[in-house]
Amino acid sequence: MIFNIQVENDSVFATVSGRLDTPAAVKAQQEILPIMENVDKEITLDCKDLEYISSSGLRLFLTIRKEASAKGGKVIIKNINDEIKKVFMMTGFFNLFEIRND
Amino acid sequence: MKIPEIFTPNRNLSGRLTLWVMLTTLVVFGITTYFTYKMVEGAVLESSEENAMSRMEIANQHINGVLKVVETAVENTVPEVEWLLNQPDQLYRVTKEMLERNPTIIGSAIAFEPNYYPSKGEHFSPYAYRGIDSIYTKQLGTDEYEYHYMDWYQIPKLLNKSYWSEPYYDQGGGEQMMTTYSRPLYDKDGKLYAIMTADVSLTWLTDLMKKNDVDFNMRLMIDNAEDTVKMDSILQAEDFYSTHAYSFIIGRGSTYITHPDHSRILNDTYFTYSLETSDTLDDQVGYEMLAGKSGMNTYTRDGTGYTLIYKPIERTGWSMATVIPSDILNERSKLIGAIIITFMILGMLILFFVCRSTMKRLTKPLHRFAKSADAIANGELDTPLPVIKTKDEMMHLRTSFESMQRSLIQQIDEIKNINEQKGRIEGELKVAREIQMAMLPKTFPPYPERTEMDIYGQLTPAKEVGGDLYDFFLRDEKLYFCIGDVSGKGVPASLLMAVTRSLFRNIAAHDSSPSQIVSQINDAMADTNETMMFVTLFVGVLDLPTGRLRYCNAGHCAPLILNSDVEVLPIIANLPSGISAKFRFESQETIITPGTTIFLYTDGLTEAENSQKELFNEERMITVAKECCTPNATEIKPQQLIKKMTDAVHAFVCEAEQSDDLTMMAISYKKEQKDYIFQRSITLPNNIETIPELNAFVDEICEAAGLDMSMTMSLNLALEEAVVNVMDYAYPEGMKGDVTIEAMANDEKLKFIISDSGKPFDPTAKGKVDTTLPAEDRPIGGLGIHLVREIMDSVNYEYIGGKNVLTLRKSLPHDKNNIETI
Repeated sequence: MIFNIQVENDSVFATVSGRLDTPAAVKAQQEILPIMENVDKEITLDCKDLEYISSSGLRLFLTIRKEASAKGGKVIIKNINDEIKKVFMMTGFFNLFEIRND
Repeated sequence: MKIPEIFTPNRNLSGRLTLWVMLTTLVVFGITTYFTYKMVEGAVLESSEENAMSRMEIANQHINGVLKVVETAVENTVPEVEWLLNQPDQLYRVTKEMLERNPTIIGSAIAFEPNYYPSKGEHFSPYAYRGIDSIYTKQLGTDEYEYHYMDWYQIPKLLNKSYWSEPYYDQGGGEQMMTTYSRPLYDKDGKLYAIMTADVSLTWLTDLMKKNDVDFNMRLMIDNAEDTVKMDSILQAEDFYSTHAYSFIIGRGSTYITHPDHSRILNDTYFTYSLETSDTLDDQVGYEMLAGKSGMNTYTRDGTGYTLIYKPIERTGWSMATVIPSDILNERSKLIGAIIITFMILGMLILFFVCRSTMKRLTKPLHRFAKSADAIANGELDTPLPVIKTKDEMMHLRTSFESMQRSLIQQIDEIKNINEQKGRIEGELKVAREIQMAMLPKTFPPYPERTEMDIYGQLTPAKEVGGDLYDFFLRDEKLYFCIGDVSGKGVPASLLMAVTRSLFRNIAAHDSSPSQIVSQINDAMADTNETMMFVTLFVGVLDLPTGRLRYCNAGHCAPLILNSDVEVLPIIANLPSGISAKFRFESQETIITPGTTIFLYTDGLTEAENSQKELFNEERMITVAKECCTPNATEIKPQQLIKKMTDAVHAFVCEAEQSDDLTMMAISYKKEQKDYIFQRSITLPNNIETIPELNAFVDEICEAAGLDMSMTMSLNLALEEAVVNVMDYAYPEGMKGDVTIEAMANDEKLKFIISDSGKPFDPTAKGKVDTTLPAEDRPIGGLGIHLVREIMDSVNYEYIGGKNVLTLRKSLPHDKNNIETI
């Protein structure tokens, strides 16, 4: 399980951990269904334990982001490490999401 | 010292005009004066003659009047004598009464023939004469005075006619000069019985002539003889006769009766003096005078010319003459001449001043015009012109000046504008040239880290902006290069060159097929090519890992391939780019072996012309190229090759002007100098579930290369993305296939070659991802290859030998030098 999701009344909180490589991202498409059902809420993705992300993983983030903005929700990404941040910078994702650190 | 302008007439117009007017006038005046003088001289002579003549006529009449009175008195007394002939004593009374009646007669006698009255003796001759206070009578004849023998008695008796005696001095009376009139008396038988006489004093005659002379001299403007007293006083002067006019009377025997010099009267004759000179003319005059002729003559005595005018006094047989020295007449003429010359000089002076002031006034505007013209010449174009009020040529000149000034201002303005424009255009052309040149790669070597190749390019521009171009760039381990020549010259060519170069850069940025690149350039140009310009172009793509050269030629000259020998790269001509849209350009390809140099050029090289109009041509070019290919020199440096070629062309062309751009580019393809220290490979099936195996392989490589966590993760990401891409797209759905990943490393570089046997698929051909787009507009795909490009230094795709070959390169940080050798 890469995504560990807790859905509350007006928010969704998920921790993303481990390696989000291409095979993992394929599997994770199922895991994020609870998020996709609640995209009108404030979604917080805590990436404190995310070690690796491939373009497939990024596509998941982008899918959530697109759905959320279509439905009036909001996506906040927290605690990305330097390597992930580098990938975000390379792809322009750093500007697409609200990025926060605790 | 300033020279007065009249002496330097060439320096100014008014002076010159004045000089010419003066000279002309002087000549005319001179001639007029000369002739006038001559005429005056004649007139003076003539008028003097006339004057002398009329004076002499008056004197003649005067003398005649006096003598006639005497003759009449005698004639009137004759009847009384005849009446009283019987009373001889009464005859005393008759003579006395005649004297009383005629005051001019100073004595009168009736002298009878000898013994006419026997009672009265032999010498009966009653005689009355004037004493001091009364008239006395006496008998004239005595024994001592035998009058019958005297001239006054004898000559009338013999001639039987009345007779005036030659003048003589009265010896008895007052020593005065006298003349006697003798009248013969005849009886009824015609027999002479007596001679009746009347004596007249001639003292008045001298006075008359003297007065006349004074008057005449006055007329001749000889002012020191204004009266008789003065005349007498200057008479003694030696030059009197040569400086004054005078008259004289000579008797029948040429004796002087009157003469200014009284001592000559009755003492000398005319010939006394005329004979003293050798000039016989005056003697001739004397004879003519004696002959009772009148006339005028000139003669010379003692070097002085004289004019002598003479006229007879017929009653007495005397002759009267006036002598005028020529000098007097000359003096007179000279005086008149001097007066004329004086007036002439005065006139000339007036003329000179009038001329000068008029000329100055007339030419004054010229000086002002000259000043204005100087000012205009100095650039003061709006200098005011002199004001001209006259409507003459000056006004005309002013009008001309005005229009000249106007057109000068106008033309200078135009020239200024033109020059400004020209300067601007020249400046812009220079900038255009600089921009054009800046478009070309100029930093050599362009890729110093690339040991497997070397490039050098050079464009030597002709004078004006031209249309040659060369360009190259590296993308994905491929060298894209082109060389071209735009038709024509100048700005249009340079613009098209810039367009061509931009098209090449843009199209080659995402298309790796030379024929596609050329076709797209061609289409883009042909679409809008209204000026029918075209470009010959050679585009090449050299795959550096494999040495595969694909190229497409669009009407350009074939490049040379330099190895151990020189070959011409086989080319299909196709068409130059820009002529026909949709033309199918054919691609060609060859394999370039390491150690080969490709030499590209434009026709500026082969068609370089020397002064004999010979072309450098291909043969010479190949000869030069061959010199670089000595068997020992395995490596040809592009810069040296081009320098050698340039030197050869310059030596050939020599002094002739470069007519076209000269462009050359050389690309050396070499063996990679550094061999890889280690090499590993893995083959995976086309299943993404095997990605963790790939990760493990990459980790292993990175660890061997001593790379840190961050680099390892980046490389992992790049490899995963590249391999997943191949797995997803190279093989059709459901088809099984393998993907082989080779990894090579040395202390500088890491190289991965991903190959598969699937359908040709070029992942690098995908457009770049725009990372600045907002989330809504971002496409979901395309991120993978983007990440690969971001992480790796180069990504190169080549379909070769039925395989897709994707090469990824990454330079290693220099401090990481702990490569594990396996």
